[in-house]
Amino acid sequence: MTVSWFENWLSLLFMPLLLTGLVNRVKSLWSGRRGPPLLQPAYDVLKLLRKSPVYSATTTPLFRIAPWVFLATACASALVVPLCGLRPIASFPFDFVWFAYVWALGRVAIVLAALDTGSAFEGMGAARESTFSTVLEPVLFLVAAALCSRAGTHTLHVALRFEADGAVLLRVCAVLALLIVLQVEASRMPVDDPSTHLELTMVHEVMVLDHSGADLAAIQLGAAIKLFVGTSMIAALLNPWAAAGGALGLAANLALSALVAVLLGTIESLVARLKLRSVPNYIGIALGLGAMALLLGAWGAVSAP
Amino acid sequence: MSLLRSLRVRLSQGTPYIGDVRTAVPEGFRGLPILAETPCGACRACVEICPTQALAAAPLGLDLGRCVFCAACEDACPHGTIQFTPEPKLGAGRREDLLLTAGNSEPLRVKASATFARLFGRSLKLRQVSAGGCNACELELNAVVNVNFDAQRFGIEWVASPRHADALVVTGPLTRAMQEAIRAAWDAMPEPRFLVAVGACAISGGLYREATETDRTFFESVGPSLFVPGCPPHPLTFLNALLDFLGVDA
Amino acid sequence: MPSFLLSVPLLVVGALLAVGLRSNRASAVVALATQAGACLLVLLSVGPPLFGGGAIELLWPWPPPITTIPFRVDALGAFFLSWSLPMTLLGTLYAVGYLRPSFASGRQGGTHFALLNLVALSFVLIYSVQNALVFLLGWEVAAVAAWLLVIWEYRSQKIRFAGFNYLVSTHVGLFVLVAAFMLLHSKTASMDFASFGSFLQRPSPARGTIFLLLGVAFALKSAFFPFHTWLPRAHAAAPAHVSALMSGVIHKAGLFGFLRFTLLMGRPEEWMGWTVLIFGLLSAFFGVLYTSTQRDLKRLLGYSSTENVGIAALGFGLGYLGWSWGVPALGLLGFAGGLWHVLNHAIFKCLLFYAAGAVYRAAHSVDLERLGGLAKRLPRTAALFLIGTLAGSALPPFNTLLSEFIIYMGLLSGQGPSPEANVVLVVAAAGLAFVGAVSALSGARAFGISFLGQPRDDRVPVGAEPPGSMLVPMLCHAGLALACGLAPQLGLNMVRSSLGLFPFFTPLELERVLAPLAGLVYASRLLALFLLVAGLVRWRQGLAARRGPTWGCGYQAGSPRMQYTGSSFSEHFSRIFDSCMPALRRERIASEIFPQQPGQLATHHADAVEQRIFEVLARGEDAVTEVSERIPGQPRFAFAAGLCALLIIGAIAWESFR
Repeated sequence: MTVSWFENWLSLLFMPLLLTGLVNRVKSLWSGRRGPPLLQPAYDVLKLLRKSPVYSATTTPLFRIAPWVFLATACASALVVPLCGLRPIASFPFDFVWFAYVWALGRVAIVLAALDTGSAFEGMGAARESTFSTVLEPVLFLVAAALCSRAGTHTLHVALRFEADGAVLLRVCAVLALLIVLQVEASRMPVDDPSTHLELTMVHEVMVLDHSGADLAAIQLGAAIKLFVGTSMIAALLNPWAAAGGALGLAANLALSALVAVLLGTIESLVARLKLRSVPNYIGIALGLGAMALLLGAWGAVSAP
Repeated sequence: MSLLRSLRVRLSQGTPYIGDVRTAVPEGFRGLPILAETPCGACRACVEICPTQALAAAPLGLDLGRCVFCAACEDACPHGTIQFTPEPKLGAGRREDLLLTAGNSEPLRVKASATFARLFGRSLKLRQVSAGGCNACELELNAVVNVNFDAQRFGIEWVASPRHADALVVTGPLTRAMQEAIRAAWDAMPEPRFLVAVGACAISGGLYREATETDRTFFESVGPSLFVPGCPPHPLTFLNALLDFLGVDA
Repeated sequence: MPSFLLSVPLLVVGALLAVGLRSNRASAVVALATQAGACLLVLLSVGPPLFGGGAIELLWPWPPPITTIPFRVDALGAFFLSWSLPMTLLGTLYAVGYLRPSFASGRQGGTHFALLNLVALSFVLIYSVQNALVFLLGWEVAAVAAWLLVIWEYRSQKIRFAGFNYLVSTHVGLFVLVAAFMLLHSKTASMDFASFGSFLQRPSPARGTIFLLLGVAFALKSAFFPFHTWLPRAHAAAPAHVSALMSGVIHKAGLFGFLRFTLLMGRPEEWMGWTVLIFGLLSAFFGVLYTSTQRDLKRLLGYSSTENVGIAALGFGLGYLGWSWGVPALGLLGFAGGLWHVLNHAIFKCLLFYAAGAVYRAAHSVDLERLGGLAKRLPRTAALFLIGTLAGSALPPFNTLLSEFIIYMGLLSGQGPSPEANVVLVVAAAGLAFVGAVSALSGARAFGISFLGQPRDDRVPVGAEPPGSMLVPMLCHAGLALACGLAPQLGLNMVRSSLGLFPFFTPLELERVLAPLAGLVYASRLLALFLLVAGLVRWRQGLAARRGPTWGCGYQAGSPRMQYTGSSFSEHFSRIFDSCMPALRRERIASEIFPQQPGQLATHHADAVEQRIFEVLARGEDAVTEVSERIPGQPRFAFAAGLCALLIIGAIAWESFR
């Protein structure tokens, strides 16, 4: 499949907000509500763009630039991932290193904006966010290295492609580890509650308490894009019709993405948030899965015909 | 497996949300009072007995903004002129619209605001400030987003920070202790924004209108755009008032 | 072309003049002028070896028994010289502004500037000389000059102790180095690096011992874990530009020595590569852990140096492994990444120390728990510190990401000889990712707590922005950080010829392994462009927006003391690694419900290695005291001991005369 700028940007425009809307819809259905329409996140973002922001006098210009850095890094990370199974716009060997570090830049921007307000709550969210991400970084590298050694390539989108080569356990470990990564990065349960209003239980929510207007819209968009990127990675790993390409592959990928969103919404509805001190242990599970995937990949590469 | 069990429980619950909030009328609710044209003997029994002086005689009038819906007037009236119906739609966009006169029978409908309908028609985020009330209004407002009323299906939601909010929803008579806090909350909101007064205490001071700790200067400087009477108002009152204000069709 | 050695007398003359002149301004001008001259001379001379030409060889005649001192500037020496001297010059320029308040109150700065000249001189010697004795001389000059520079504020006992600690540690390293040279001398009967090289190339049992001795010596110099204990104290005590030069330039001499002997040694054994790799990973790991919990900005930056030399050693270890396995790609990636990381680290570390110095000059404190809101009062310093922090955490679009990317490429390439080796390399890459994430946490903490928010302590004075002489070096370093990130050829061209010294180097292979870098740079450039445009637009748009206080949930009694402090920020993280980082917690918290007195709570993270060293030393001292107390108390014991000693001496004497 040739690189298609148009299709990639089109999916980046619609899918993130749709997926977020789907997760919210699933949560509503589980609780017995009818729930907001699927496009509600889009309506929220459009409304926010028309509000004129208020800035705290404690903040510096960094505060109003940081949300756009976050959005830019989310888009930059989307450049190397197979969105909806499409071939990414810019891919090069070892692009998953770029992926991880660009997400780190976005995270540092939001953390600095939170510290900029001089508010105790936001500092709390910034500290928690930074701590979780330190334990999370190695997971991505372990999983990517495992998939790369199996696929014999170093480019992310090629490594993520599903191959019917019998490495089922490796793929399962990779998918589970990536799911935990997604839960942490997209602030989902059981790591973080995106709809809580209690400061003691917030991680991402509390960092954006002081943003308003277009800045808040940028942050929500960026978060939605990160969710979409993570979901695309998992869907690509599970899609057996990816090689066939065309409409069947795309439809399967979209169905799998929807399935992952439904799964996230279901976990969020049925599982309580973990105790804060236990979250690094939960991420440790992802580390273990990544390590197992790595060992399977390393020895599998030798024993493969 | 617990997932299957949860699914079974969920399916057994059916659909607990009210399908059409625009036409739902809650059973047993003391809502819109109907003032009959006749007979009223101007005996002033209702005027004397009303705890918030919400009634006026000759001509008969009832200020819904002061009414605490205790129905003492209904019991006191020898002619049965005042009748409370279960109709929940009571919101108004102007304070004077809450002054009921004899012969009213239509539920109150709020006139849609042109600017706000365009901006917030599909997405409205609310921030609640409780300014010294008894917490009954707050409980009802909490219920607006539960599984029965499900305000989120209209894009209406409570948010934690006024920076994220479009409207400030105030309950309670506004005490002196809450002056700075409520001023801070309003100042923190980005434009365009509006104020909603919910409950008899917020609209007129309610039972605490004459109290020494009540300080309603905030409402004098920032006028509410929407009034939701009740003591406490039903979630349907609040929801219908908002939906009318935003021009959302039934 | 005049010989680069002319810079030596030039610098000496400059040093003597600086000491002799009365006026501080004249000393400064003389020092700057002579250093600039030396810089120019050296850069012109080492240009050819640096960019592909042959090495410069010189022989300096000297009275016997040395007879001649051989100098040889090959690509590696040229690489180190090309940035060491200019950065020392920038440091001297910075000193002019930084020390102005001291000069105004009457201190004589002549000696200080002379010492800076001597530091530059030591570089010329260390990086070019081929004789072990002159190498040790240069090493010693650098150590003593650095020590004297560190104790600028000698009136404080704490600073004197820190300086003494540094002096002792650096001389322990010197002794180990002397031991290694003595061992080599005994095998080769010469003091020449060339003959050392020919001995080391042949396999022999002493090769491993010499490798370890040299490794320990250079590890002590470059502050690897666990030989780093002197570094945080010295950095906290020294003036900012001395810390910058020590961290960024002087201690890189250790890495240079390591690489020089790598080249002399020839093809290493596999265990050497694993040792270096694991050692580097440990340094990076522990360095960054300590960085995340320090409350003194300069100590924080000192530990960050340990972390970064660990990353460079990670690259070198990878290079060693590639060389020993016969996989040129790994060797090239490892050494290219490691060498370039050395340069990148010098660039951003000097910038960070300069900015910390500007903070100290304005606020007279570098304690994170007392600072806050400095960005409002020192906007230029804040912007430069931010650039340094982002570069230090290896974030795009700055330079450090590129050198770390090269190391990642090697670790994740899967080109090891066995799956076990590949797995270990990938685990090392995951460790590097962890180190990167923690350094992002530390950087955000250091910048966020000190520059953002509100001032945490009202007693901290409000100062002014640093003067031009301090801003210019900072701007140069910041510009370099950005330029090298967007145009990597700037850095790579300097490193390329050094790579050519390795026998497995081929230009085609280097181009092939570095090819993915182009994709990364392209993406970085796009990102930088977008960030620039978005930043400018948002900055302008926000100027007219409404302002108000930070939303604090309507709480009316808030104070700046309620903000998150540095220790709160890293508390959760440090608790996870409790076993590696002992935390000292001092608290006096009232137990009654309505306390009448304010309470106190302070957390300090002490260096575990330093604590252990002092513990062991104390116990050893106790043991010695115990033993020595016994001896006088029992005369028969003393008599017997004396008799034994006489017997042994007599036996040795009889043996030697037989």
